[in-house]
Amino acid sequence: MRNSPNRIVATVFGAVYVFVGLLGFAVTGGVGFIATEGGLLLGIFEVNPLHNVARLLIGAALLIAGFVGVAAAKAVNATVGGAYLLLGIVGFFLAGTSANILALNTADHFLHLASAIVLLGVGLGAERSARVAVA
Amino acid sequence: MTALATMARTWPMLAAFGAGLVLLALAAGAGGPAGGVLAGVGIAALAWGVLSLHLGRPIAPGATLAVGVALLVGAAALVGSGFAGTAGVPAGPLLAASVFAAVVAAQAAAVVRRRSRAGTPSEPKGEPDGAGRAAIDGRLSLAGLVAGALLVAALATPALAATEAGRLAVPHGDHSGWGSSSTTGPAHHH
Repeated sequence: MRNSPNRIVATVFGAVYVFVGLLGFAVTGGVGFIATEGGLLLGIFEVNPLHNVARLLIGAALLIAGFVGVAAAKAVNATVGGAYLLLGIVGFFLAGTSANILALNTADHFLHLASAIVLLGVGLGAERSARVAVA
Repeated sequence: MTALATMARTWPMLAAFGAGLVLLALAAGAGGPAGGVLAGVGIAALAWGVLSLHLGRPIAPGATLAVGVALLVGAAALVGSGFAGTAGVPAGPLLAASVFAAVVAAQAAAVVRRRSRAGTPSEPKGEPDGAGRAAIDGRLSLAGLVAGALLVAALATPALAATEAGRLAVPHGDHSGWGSSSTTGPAHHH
């Protein structure tokens, strides 16, 4: 795993997403499960139960893919990163809605954008022969 | 290839992602012919970034250089003439998109120049001379990718926030669920 950029990124990002998702529930402990208003995680990141669930699911997918192998990690990295950027772009045209997930100058938007670019970048650009190798 | 060159190899592709995102956010707020042009160039930038990353080399460097320079000149003309404000295109995000475009154009220019001088394939031969070298290159590339993503996000995030889409964005804690709307339609057009 140590020599595979895709497996490293999938495992590290997956672990962080799962950790942040679990930590988020501690912050939003008094909030209803499907409520969409929450608190601040580490005093910076706005979280609510729906975000926590989304982070847990994405984190689990990344973690599992990171443990499975290069091809799985590469596919999940590119899919998660690409889907996030695509959702962000669609959100530009749905201004005023919660789908607009990239256009705020906040710490969590910055980190979401950076992590989406890393995931898409490593999924597309690293280990380009992985799919051929496992075929 | 030097360590810095290895780390920065993907930065033009990541800059293309930044340019595409900012241009599409500008397009969402501008509407009309200006919005159409911005959206077209933004989609082209994203597609260029995806394909170049996938292939491991900048595609169509000549055309990329031409479009990059045209975008820089066009942005300067829009801001200088004051037409940017009339068309609903804020100058700050346009400047940020121009910075991203300049990075892409600079790499395209370097590739074109190298081709014309040597008459050889533009992609430098970075063949590893062993498994150890390949592993080092892989780690350097990954570190460069993370650093590049942070740089792109550092410039793109405030630029996106300064667009019409950013002005109408809803903070996470305030919204009422995915897909919910506090307004009834897309960004209003100027």
